[in-house]
Amino acid sequence: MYEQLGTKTGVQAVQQYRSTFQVQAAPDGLVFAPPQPNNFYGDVGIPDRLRAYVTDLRLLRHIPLAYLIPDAGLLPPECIRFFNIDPTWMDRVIDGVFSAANTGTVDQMFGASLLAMIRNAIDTDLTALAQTSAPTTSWNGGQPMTGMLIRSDLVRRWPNLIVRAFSTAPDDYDDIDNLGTVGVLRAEPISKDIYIAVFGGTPAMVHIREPFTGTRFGVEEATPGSTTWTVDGHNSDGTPTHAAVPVGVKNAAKRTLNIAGLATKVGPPRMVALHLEQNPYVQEFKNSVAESTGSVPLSNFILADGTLQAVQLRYGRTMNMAALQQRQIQIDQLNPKEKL
Amino acid sequence: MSDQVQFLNNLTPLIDSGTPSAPITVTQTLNSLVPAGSILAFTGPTSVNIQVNGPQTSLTQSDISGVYPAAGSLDSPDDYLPHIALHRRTLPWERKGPGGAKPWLALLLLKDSELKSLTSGGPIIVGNLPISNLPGNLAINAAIKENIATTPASGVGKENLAAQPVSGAAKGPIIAQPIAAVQDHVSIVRNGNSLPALVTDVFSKMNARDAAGYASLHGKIADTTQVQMLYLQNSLFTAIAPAQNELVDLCTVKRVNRDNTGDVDTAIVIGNRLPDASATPPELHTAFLVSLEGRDDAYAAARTQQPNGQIGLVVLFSWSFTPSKGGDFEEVIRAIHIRPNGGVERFGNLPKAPDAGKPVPLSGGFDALLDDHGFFIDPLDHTQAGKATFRGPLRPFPPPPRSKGFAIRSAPEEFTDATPDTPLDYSNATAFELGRLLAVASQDLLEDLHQVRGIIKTIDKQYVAVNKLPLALQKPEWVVDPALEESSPWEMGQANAMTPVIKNENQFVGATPGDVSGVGQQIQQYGSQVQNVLTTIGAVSTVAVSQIDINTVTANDLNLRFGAVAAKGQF
Repeated sequence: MYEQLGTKTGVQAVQQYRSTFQVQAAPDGLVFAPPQPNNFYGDVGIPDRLRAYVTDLRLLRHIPLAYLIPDAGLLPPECIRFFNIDPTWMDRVIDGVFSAANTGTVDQMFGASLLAMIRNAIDTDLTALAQTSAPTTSWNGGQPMTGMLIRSDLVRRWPNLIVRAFSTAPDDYDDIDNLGTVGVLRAEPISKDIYIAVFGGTPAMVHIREPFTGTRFGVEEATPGSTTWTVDGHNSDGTPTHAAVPVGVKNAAKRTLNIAGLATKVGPPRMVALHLEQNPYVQEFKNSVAESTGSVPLSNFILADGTLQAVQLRYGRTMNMAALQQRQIQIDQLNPKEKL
Repeated sequence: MSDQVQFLNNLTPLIDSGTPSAPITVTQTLNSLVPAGSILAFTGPTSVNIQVNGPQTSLTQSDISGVYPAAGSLDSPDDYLPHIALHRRTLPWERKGPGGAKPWLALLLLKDSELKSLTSGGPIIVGNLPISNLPGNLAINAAIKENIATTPASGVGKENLAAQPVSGAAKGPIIAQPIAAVQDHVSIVRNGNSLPALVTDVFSKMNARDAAGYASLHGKIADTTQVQMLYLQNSLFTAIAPAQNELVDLCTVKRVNRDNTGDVDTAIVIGNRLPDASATPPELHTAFLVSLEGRDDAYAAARTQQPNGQIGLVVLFSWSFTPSKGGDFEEVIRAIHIRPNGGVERFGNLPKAPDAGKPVPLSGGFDALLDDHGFFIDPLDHTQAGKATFRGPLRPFPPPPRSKGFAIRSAPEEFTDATPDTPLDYSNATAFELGRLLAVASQDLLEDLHQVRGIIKTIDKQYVAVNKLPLALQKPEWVVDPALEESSPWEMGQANAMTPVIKNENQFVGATPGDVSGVGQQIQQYGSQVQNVLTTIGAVSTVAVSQIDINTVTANDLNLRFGAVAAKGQF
């Protein structure tokens, strides 16, 4: 008969161990603070699949959309929303995942003693992830995270749009590569027309860039709905002149362009190609811009004579406001009391 | 440094594809080691002929670097021109096009309706006929049938349909159409024969539909060559194809200067026609890369004089896409901030101002659904007793610092005894349960959860010194104490310094006398104290304690010193 090694029973031992955890009833459940440092374990071994899954949870993956957007009004059509992520909420999800393996007190205490190390491991993974997109970032996984939601036709038509985040938002800059960057931890569509981006930290400026699709050639409507076309002028060394060059029409019904006429204006074939080339567009969002400008009523663009004011785009083009006006009319008819 | 892009006017090869073989003069010199008249002397021709045969009637995917818009795409803006990029950088300039000039390739864009409506030789009114005389086998639409039934025949005129001329080689079906002014007659119309616009067959078949084009290509393409032909009415070709002098402006070379891999050249052929997305839904469009090699006939006056005639074009490649009217990237993203669009705002805000007299719940002068903490201002419908509240993980403003706690159970039990005015915040409890449910729903996760293991702390051995003594002379306890190692004993301050007991070989073997056991050191430190204690208690010390010099000690010496002890030990 072996002698017992200690004088305590197993229950007593677990109870004594549990008492070191400072378990308390909190408004959102039982919480505890595990003893630090852990006297037994130096590290925690998590299967790769599980580790990737819980790290993804921190990036809002696997979370049903209804939990993120409990009401459709939080993400109306054609909108962009910037948000902060509640780290405690996300930690609770992961706590819940690991609670699924606990079948009794001993299991629970064993698992609980590892939770701090698991949380640290996930933070470490997120830190590394941030550094892949922003090598100089000082952010670590234990620090605040923010993000952006886009619900727009933009996502359906350009699902591989490019999101970049910066720690500064200068009014002017020569080389974007010299700006400090904020890690983009996640940037992907989550449905046909919804896109999400998660940042490691709080960016001062966010760029949404038209994706690279190789070379594209095209023209711009000089005025919405017209068959008058223009291209952006270029010097022979490729630098833009910022002057619009009109492109004539050969057959308006067939939408064929007078390429020979353009060549007469701009030069040999390489200059024709240079003028027809369309560069990707980049939209900036800066925290220095007043929030109130983020949404303005259509009525701001209706002139005294009832016509629509032109919204200028690149290369002297203007935005086609007629579609917006038509949609506003439809909404007014559906909700006569609701004035946006 | 990023890539730099250049456009070039063209890259014209020295030898055109398909031209008769060109001679290259070869000069060979044998050195003086070969004697004159030797059988090794070279007596062959001094020139060789080469011929370049580049793609002529078709391309494969490997020839193509890319196309725009992408094949099958549904959303390319309608103000972007289609184009095709070719790996073979000289391809557009390897053959001669119309007028003997280069390039020889063109990119045509056709709507689906333009491809399907291709007909030949019609419609032509071949005569008028009293309704009473309509042949029984004539295709009559419903309106005419009704007219026949209600309009009495007057018996005016009678014509022989078979004798009516039909222009063009093809004869399409005959139909009858009512004549507005003459109720008892109908017009007999022979429609053009519907012919497929795209045909894959041997080249010789082109002669039947476009004799002039066939004549231009005869001798350049073998009659038995399988080709894909695009047939268009001359009028349509004239309307959509680039003018002859525009072909040169629509072909270019894109050169990308890459830092590591050098220049990469790609030939590009651009279309001259913009897609048309005005239809609802927009029509399917197909871009055709066609050959105009030797096609002087394509721009001849005869084409415009015979608008209903056909032109056949060899298709090297084609792809289809559907354009979009929704504006380009800039227009779409810039429009977001204009209502009724949703705007660019803080999470929780609405794209409208609060009602008159109401405060701004969040920021920016907007009405909002959420308060500062992310809770709904107007609670959502729920079935819980009391004021249950919920918020997700997304907040309008930075949240409070991250809790250092860990949850092991969700909240509802704790709400049982809450005071009535306590808001029942189910937010984190929901999160906990969500995580639990996600795990339970996945067998893989459950399996992995049981594999989570704590890794026991191990002592990371870092050797700070290696004892060079033979093992036989080492004492087992002469190891580094792990506890001491962790506290870095080698860095002890002077106040706590002590002489290490462990000796290295210099203090041990090399020293005279050597202090094998450390006794000598201890005598130095404690010998006088020990002697004092022994004296105090009256103990008798017969022999003064001294140390042995291990380098000079002999067996005899040991016997003298320890002989008595050894003798006692033998019993």
